[in-house]
Amino acid sequence: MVIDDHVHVHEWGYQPGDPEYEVDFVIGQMDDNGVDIAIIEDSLAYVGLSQEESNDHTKAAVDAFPDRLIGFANIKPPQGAAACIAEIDRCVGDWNFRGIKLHAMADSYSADDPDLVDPVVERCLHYGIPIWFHTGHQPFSTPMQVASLASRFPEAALIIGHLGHGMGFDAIWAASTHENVYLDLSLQGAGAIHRACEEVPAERLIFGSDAPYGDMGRVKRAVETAPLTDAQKQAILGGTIARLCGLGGSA
Amino acid sequence: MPWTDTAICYGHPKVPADEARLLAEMDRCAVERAWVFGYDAVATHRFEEANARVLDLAERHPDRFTPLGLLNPLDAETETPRLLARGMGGIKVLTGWGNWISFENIRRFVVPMAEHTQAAGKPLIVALEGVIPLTGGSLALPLQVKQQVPGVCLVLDHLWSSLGWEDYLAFAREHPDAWLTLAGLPQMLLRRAVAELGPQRLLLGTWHPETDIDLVTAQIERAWPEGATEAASTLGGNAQRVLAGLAPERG
Repeated sequence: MVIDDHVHVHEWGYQPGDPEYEVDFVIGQMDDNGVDIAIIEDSLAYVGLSQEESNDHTKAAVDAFPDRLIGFANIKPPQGAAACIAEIDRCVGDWNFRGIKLHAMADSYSADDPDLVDPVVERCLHYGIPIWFHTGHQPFSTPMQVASLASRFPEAALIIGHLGHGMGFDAIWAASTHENVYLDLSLQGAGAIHRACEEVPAERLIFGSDAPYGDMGRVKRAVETAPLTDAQKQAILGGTIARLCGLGGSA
Repeated sequence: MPWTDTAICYGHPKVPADEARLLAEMDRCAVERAWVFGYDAVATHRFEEANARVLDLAERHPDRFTPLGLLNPLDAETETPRLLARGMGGIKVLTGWGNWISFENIRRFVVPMAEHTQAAGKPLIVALEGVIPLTGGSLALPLQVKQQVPGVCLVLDHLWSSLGWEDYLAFAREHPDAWLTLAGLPQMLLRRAVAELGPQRLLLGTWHPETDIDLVTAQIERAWPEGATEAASTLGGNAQRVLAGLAPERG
């Protein structure tokens, strides 16, 4: 079972009627690249939509293909702790989304801000779901900040998105020193992915593409050609994220 | 009470070393002691010449200057103990020099530097050049050093990029025995750094002539917490602890 942990419906410039980033386009990409399940979030949360509106879009996509798509909720801590907790309850408790995403750069707060982020982490711990962080951009969304949060919440499962983007060294350090930090490999090439494979236990690396911005096939091939055992590759390609999301028997 | 400036370029790629001018500037800005390094070596790669210049200056003015050693990291195993034996007050790593930083090179070259400085009771000063990801600015280097040589007296220096300060503060929370230097920053950020870190973990490090010394000292005085002892005195005492290879006093 191959699971892509990071896929979007709707692109930043999306307008209703645009065909290329509608959900059926995403399913086509999955079919072309041998991906069984995709974890999906709506992109429009990063260009002005509220978390509630954005998650409504994600819910509609998941409802269209319930056997192929799993929802992660976009959560915006600056909307306030009460609103965030209510939204996590709606998305996870009511709709069975299996994780959340924080985009601290887009929403302009530090990814380890205790006042804004701690209540969100605590609610995710209540549900036993992972938190996916966009990372790679100072000042607000960096691997170091996720590592700091991981030290504060050692029982939380925190995923550093995009292998830290241009901050790959910091991302690899964070995962190699914090057992509750995982690395999503989306948007990265084989060189960076293979370096991560050398430094970080395979069970804490997660296949993802960031499609449609990234290429599912390219990242998947980089994992398949890494100097790892078949069992390690299976963990990266789906086993680990299935475990974090509580997808029993999916991988 | 006069100041101790722990980062003065005696020789800069854009400003040649000038003893009389530097002494006059120190007197004008009430700087009693300066730690000097031949930063022009970042452009010339003539580390031996730069080191000889600061050793000569400190020998002729032992009451005013403390020399810091620079080196090509690839020569760390032999050069670090040699420079310390010649009287260097510490070793400064220029992360923006060359293109040498990798996980393997940090292990091979910087970790031995840290081991040698620790054995000599001297500080290892890491100049984060503010360029993400590989050629300085990334915290992966100091983080890896602290992981492998946890007792090293480590100074994070050249923290001139305000974009990096969320990360520097996160690093400081993870490693409460690390020192950080203050140079010119947006006043709100400098005030926050003083408030969060406390006076006992900070050093004045202007990188003059990159920044005017008296502008920085004025910024620090304005940010100093009410009721704390005088800024120059506290930072001077901190500098003495660093030269002895000690961790910050608990504030």
